Amino acid sequence: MGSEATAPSDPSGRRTRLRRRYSLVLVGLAAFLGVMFALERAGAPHTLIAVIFLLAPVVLYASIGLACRTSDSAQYFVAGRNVPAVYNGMAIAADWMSVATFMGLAGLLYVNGFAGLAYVLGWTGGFCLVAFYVAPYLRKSRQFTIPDFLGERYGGRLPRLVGLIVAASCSLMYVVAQIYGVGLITSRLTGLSFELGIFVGLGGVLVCSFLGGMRAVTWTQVAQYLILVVAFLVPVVWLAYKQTGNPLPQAALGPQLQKVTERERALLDDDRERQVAAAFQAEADRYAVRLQNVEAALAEDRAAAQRELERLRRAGASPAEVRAAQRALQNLPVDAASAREAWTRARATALDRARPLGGMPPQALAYAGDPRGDAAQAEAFAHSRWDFLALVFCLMAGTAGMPHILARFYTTPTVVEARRSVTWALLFIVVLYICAPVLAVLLKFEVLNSVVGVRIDDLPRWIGDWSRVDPGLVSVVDINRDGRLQLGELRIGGDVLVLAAPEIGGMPFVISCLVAAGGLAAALSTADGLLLTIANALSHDLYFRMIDENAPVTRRVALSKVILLLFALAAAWIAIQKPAAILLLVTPVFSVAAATIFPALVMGIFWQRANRWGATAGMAVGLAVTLYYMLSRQAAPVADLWFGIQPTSAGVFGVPAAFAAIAVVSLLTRPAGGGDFVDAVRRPDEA
Amino acid sequence: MTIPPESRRADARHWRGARRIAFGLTALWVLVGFVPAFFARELQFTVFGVPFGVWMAAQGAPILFVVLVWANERRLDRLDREHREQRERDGL
Repeated sequence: MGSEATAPSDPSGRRTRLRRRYSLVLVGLAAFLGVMFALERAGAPHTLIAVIFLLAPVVLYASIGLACRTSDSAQYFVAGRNVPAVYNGMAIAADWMSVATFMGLAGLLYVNGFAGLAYVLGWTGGFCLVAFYVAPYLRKSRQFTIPDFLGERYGGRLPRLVGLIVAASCSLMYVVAQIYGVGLITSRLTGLSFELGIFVGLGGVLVCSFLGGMRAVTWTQVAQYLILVVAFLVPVVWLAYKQTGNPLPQAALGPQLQKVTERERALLDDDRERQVAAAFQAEADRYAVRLQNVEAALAEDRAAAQRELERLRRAGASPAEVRAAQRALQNLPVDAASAREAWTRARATALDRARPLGGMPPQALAYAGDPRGDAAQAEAFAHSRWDFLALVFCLMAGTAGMPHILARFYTTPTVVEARRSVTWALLFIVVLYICAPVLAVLLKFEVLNSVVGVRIDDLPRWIGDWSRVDPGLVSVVDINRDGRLQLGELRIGGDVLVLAAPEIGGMPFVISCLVAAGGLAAALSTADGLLLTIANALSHDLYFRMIDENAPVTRRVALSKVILLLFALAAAWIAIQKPAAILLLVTPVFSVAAATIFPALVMGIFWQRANRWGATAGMAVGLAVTLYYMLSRQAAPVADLWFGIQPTSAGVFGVPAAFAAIAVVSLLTRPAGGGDFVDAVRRPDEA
Repeated sequence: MTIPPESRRADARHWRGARRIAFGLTALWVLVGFVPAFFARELQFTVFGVPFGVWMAAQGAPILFVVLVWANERRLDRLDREHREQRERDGL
C-alpha cells in the first residue's frame, strides 16, 4: 500500500505483500487483545485500557494514512485505479457499514422485532441493483465522481450541477450521523465530553483522507473492516456459545427465538406485567386530563412545587433536598406551549409503555395488527406490511444511488474486477448482517431471563451504569412498587444495545472496549468515504469542470483537501447541535438518493434516448416528490399517510416519479447525443 | 472513427445478453427479497426453528443476494468471453 501501489507492473508480488500486511493486522489485533486481557487480569484501571483501545486503532489508521499520502490526482481521486477486487470489497464493506449498521441495527431489531429486518433486507439487497445496473458501467466510463458520470453522459451543465448538489447534501447529512456516533462512543468509552470526543475522532478521519485521498482511505478502510467485523462477531459468538453451547450464531437463532417466544407468551399472561401496563395507562390518562386545560394544570404544578420548596425550608431539610426541590421548580415548562409539547410527548411515551411487553412487538411476529381481526386490526396489518416493503425498497434503491459507495467502483483496475468487487463486498457485508438479528435475539433472551423478574436491588450492574450515563438510554422505574423488575418497567434505547452487549452478556471489559473500537472503525470509515465524496465532487465537478477547466492538478487536489476540512468541521458542528437516533438521521438520505441519483444513472445506461432535460427533470421531480411527502407528513396522524407508509420511506413515491419524469421529458424534447458514451459504457473491456 | 458493421453487430448482441441477464436476475431478486416478506405472516412453517418469513428476511435473503450477485458476475464474464471469441471469428 506504500509506494508499490503506483507500480501495477508487478501485480502478483503486490498482492502477496497486501495479503501479508493485512494478515499482520489480524494477528496484531489478536495479540493486542491478548495483552489487554492480561492487563485487565493484572488489575489495570479500566480508563487506561479504554484510552489505549481508543488510541491504538486511531494511530494505526493515521499511520496507514501517512504511508499513503499523495498529491497525484489519479491516486488522490480514484486510488490509481489499481485496487484488487477483494480489497475493494472490504473497503466497500467498511464504507458501507456505518454506525447505523454497527450500533443501530441490532438494537432496532431488539426493540422493533420483525420491522427492523427491513434494514437487513434493504442494506444487503441493494447491492444486487448496484451489481446488475450500475457498478460495471460506472467503471467502464472511467470518470472520477458520480456527478462526473452524469455530466459526461448527458452533456451540459445542468445534470452535473443537480447531481452535485444531491450527492453533496446526501453525503453531508449522512456524515453528521457518523460523527455523532464517534462522539457517542469516545465519550462513553473514555469519559471525555461529547464535544471533545467528536474532535478526537475527527482527527483520525482527517489524517487519512486529508493526506492521501482515496488511496489512503481505501487502505485504511480495509483495516477498519477487519477490526469492525471481529468486534461485531466476538460478542455474538460468545453469547451463542454461552446460551446454547454452539458457537455458530446461525445455529443459535432457532432454539433461542423459540425460547424468547415462549417467555414472551408467559409475560403476556403475567399479572404483574398487567399491573405495570395499567399504571402506565393511568399515567397517560393523567397527562390527557392535564392537556385539556394546560394553563390551569401548569399553574397548579407551579404552586405545588413552590409549596413543597417552602415546606422543606421550614422543616429545615438538608441543602441537597432543597436544591432538588428548587430544580424541580425550575424544570417545570416555562409556558403553556412548551408544557403542551412536553406533556403530549410524555403521554405518548406512557401510552407506548402501557402496551404489552413494554411496547415491543413479539420477536418472531411479522407485522403489526391481524389480517383476520376487525377492520382496525386488518388495516394496521396492511399498513405495517406496506410500510415495511416501502422501506426495503427505498433502502435498496438508495444503496444503488449512494455516491460514496458508487465512487469506490472507479478504483478497480478493470470492469471485471469492478463486478467481482461487488460480490466480495456483499459477502463481507452479509457476514455481519446475518449475525445482527441473532445478536438481537440472544440479547433479548439474556434480558428476559436474567433481568426481568429480578429484585430491583439486585439488578445487574450495567443497568445502573448506563442509566447514570444517560437515563434516555437505559431506565428503570418500579412503577407498581413490588420491588421486582417487570419487562414493562425497563426501557433500553436501541442505540446503546450493541455497546452494552458485552456487559449484558457478562463478558470482560476488554470485549466492551473491542466493540467500541469496532463502532469507531465503522463510523470513521464511513465518514472518511463520505467526506472524500463531498470534497471530490466540489473540487472536481464544481471547480475544475464548471469554473476553471484549466486548473492545474495540484490546485484541484489542494482545493479538495481544504473543502474536506471545512465540511468535516461543519459536520462536527451540526453533530454537536442536534443529536437524534442514529437510524432516524440516516434513513431519509436513502430515500433522497434513491429518487434522484439512482434513476438518472440507470436510465443513462439502459435507455439511450434519455437526454439532459429528462435527467434534470427526473432528478428534480424525484427530489420534489420525496421531500414533499417527507416534510408534509412529518408530524401527520397515521390517517394522512399514503398506505400507512412512513415519511422516511418517501422515496417509494419519488423513485417511480423520477423514472416517469425522465421518460416523459426526454421524449418531449429532442434527442441530445450521448450515444457514443452509452455505446462505450456498454461495450465490454478489450482484454 | 468508423466502426465495422460486424463489430456493431457483436456489440449489439453482447448488450442484449447483458440486458437479459440484468432483467432475469432482477426477477429473482424480487422473488427472494419481496415475495417471502410480503407473505411473512402466512408462511408460518419453520426453517431451522424460525418461521419461514422471518428466517428469509433475517438469513435466507441476504445469503441468496450474495448468490445472485455472484451469478451476475459469472454470467457477465462468460458473455464477455463469448463476445471476444465472436470478434476473433469476425477477424477484428
